[in-house]
Amino acid sequence: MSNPASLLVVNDLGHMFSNRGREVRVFEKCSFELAPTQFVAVQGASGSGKTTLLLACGGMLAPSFGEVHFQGNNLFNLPHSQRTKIRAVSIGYLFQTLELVPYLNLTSNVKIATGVSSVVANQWLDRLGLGARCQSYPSELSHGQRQRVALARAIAHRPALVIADEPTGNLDNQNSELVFSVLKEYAQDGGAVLMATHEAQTAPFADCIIDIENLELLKAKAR
Amino acid sequence: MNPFFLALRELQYRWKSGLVFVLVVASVTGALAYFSVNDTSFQKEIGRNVRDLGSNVVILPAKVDQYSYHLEGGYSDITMAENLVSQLIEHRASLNHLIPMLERRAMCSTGDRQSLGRVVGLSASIAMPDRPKAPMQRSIPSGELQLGSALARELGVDRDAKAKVTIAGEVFKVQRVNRDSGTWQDSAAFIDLQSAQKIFELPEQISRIEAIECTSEQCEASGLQSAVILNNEIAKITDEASFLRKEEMAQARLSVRSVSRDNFLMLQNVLWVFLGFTVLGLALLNSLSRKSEIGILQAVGYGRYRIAGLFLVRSLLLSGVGAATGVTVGMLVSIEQANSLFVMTGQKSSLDWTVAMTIGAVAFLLAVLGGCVPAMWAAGENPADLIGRDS
Repeated sequence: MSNPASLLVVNDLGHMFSNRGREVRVFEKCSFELAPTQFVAVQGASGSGKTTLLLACGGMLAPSFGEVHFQGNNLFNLPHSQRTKIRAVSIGYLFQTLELVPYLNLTSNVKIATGVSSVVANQWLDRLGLGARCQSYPSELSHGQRQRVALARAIAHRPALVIADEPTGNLDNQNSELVFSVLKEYAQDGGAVLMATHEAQTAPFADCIIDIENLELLKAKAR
Repeated sequence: MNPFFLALRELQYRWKSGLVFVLVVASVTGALAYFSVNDTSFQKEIGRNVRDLGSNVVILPAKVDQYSYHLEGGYSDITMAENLVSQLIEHRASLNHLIPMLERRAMCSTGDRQSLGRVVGLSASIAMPDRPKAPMQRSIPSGELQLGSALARELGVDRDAKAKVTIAGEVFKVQRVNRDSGTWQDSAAFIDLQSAQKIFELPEQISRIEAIECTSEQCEASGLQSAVILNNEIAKITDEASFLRKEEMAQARLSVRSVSRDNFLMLQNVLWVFLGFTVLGLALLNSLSRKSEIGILQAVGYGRYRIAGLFLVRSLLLSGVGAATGVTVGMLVSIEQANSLFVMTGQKSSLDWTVAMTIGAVAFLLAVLGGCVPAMWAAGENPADLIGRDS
């Protein structure tokens, strides 16, 4: 039985794909729960299925097995439009590849998240040290700065769950610390954070760490 | 965020690809508008040229023996009632430019010279009420006469002389001496029909009616031959007339028009297909280069319709600008060129707003439909398959 307070419940999740006629299982029988204010990190080597797990949790990739319940709804039993609505309102996604819209300035890039005003967008950019660059375009920013914009977009609409896929990959220590601290702070303010990482640096910030390769809890019991 | 705003910003950012899209739509609509106006002008010019070759149908009294008629060089003394003209008009016969004629061989004299000539009384060409055309034959004022070149030489009348010719006791002022035509008309004198009926004492009588057939549409619709259609029509109106069809001239007239029309239709179809595929290809390229962006928008909660809307707004804006530019430029260039290309009718070329609107609207719709395919593709993709995968 899942905890009624849980925001996200993952039951026996597994995913496989076909590669040149060969069936490849990326992970299987993955179960955990995530409640508001929790910061959960998923660890594993490259190719272990961290991104796939996060995409499934965000309602963007239907898993081969198992269920993902978000706010009490089985995500992949819902129609596409309903999942889109949930993503718009309740989930913030921070991609590994720093996806920003190239033709929008920083404020507009944050504003494409649902219901975010220019004022709120600029406040977040300011909070992340980009207050003076609001009118700049992504191509004018460094890698670390772009990651901070993407983080602002993921959390500016105050989603219930923030999913961050290796948000500090290729970032220097200073930027990494900033990203982790903002995510931690977000969780402490009532949001839940699910983050994929392969860095030990995460440990001090996460409430629990899931090793996706062995599917064991390294830091705390998540279920 | 407003899809219109997003589409505008995207166009600003990828202005080169937008420009290519506009240029393609403008080029094709421009070419279509150009050839459409050009084809109309060409049809007019050809129509005028063919018309100037003369009539291709002759309606004769039924009593005329056609063998004797041809033996006499297309001449007969037998007449029929002039009101056949109004009957043909009343029954909307498939004819136009009707020219009723009365002719007699009569002595023509001027001063001390005289010669036997073919005196032809004719009226201005009569257009069918629902087929208005510029007159093929203008009226000759009463009391005046046009002389065939050979007859003028016989009578010693120079082209520029203000001579007078007497026919059957009636004096006519020479209006002009016609240029050599190489036909019987060189030995004829032309006067107005009423004067001819008066001097030859044949009131309300005519020898024949010359006309141009207009059966092509009915031939296409019914599959019948022109001669059959005309025969049926005249048989329904009167049993006192028969007709001669100048087969080669009639065929030439029909074929020159249909060849031009078919040619344009083929060109038009090729251009539409080209536009459709090019627009589809460009829109597809655009959406492939925006995979990540589509993924981001889906991830932040943009639904399928909003994503499709972005691409549609883009196609709408670009195809609208392209079609308007192309049609305007194509038409203006065509009209400008018509003056030099079409000597006889070029001055009459004008903007055809119906054609412009039709081409513009079809191009616009085609471009939007072409943009729809990638829009629907983009909207239906899974965001997980798009992120970080720009082509």
